[in-house]
Amino acid sequence: MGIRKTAKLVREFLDSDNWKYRYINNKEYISFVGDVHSSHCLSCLRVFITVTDKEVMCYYELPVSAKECLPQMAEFVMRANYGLNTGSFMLDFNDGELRFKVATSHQALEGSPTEEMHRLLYVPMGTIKTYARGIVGVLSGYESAVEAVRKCEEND
Amino acid sequence: MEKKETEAKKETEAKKELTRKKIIAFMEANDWNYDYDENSGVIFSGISLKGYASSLRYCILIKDRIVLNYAVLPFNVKKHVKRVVEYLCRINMHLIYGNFEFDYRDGEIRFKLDTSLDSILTDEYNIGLLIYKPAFTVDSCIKGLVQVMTGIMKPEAAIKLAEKENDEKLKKENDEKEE
Repeated sequence: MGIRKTAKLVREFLDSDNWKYRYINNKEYISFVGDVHSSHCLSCLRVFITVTDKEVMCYYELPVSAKECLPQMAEFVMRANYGLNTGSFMLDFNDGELRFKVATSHQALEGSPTEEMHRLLYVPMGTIKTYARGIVGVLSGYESAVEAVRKCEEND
Repeated sequence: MEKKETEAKKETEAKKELTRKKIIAFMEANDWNYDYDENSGVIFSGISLKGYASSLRYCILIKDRIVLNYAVLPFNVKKHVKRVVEYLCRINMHLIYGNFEFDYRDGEIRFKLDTSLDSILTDEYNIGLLIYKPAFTVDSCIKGLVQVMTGIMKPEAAIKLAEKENDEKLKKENDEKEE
């Protein structure tokens, strides 16, 4: 299955689900970029769905930078990721950017587009919501990573 | 309503059973040894890698909607925990499929790969990804991890070394293909 065919499936899902997005068509990949406004403390998330010749990736970019507290945020990310079923938080040690990532294959998306798009788009939203207050707690220095993760998981 | 729920539950169980059979059939066809624990529903397997991680233990869990493969590394981190966590974070930034996890309770490191039940049922390619990807990923970053664990290298330097070695390996493979 090629990039264009998979991208068409992604586009159809986004259109049917009333998503607003920017469409970026490159030689090597096709990207869909949109914004998600949430009710939790990390209110504006940017989402990137990128289709390459090998896979389909979905990244949620969080509107924070952990540059000033990299070791604490790394511990938070590791503790939060431990035991997550779908996807993972990522921390860029170069600039402190936080992301949440889920990936799938062309074959999986072709086999069950709705289910896979749900896994790519909606499961991360739930996970980010669960851990949002903990991320802010660690960023502000009010909570240790261990305490922040514990509270997030208790309240979930 | 209750009848509908029972039917949905039955359908999910049937799907899980079919997924298990497909994974096991793939493993048998590709000469993988495995154990299936009926009580927990977990498929246990493993692979021997050359070099540092002599044995990688696999635990494959089939849940209602997803399949998880945990590849557990054969050592526990007691020293340099912060550095190891930084290394794992840096590695995770490079990965498309799966991520490394660290257990703060006992220092265990594992690689997790998740995929949907439907993807396993629709294409064998996804079973190959579930089984082989963890071994390839661990193999490509194990040397750096050991160097960070033992305090020989800092995480950033270890990542650069791993990148360099993987690029060279890839180039060599491509050259061989072209020949």
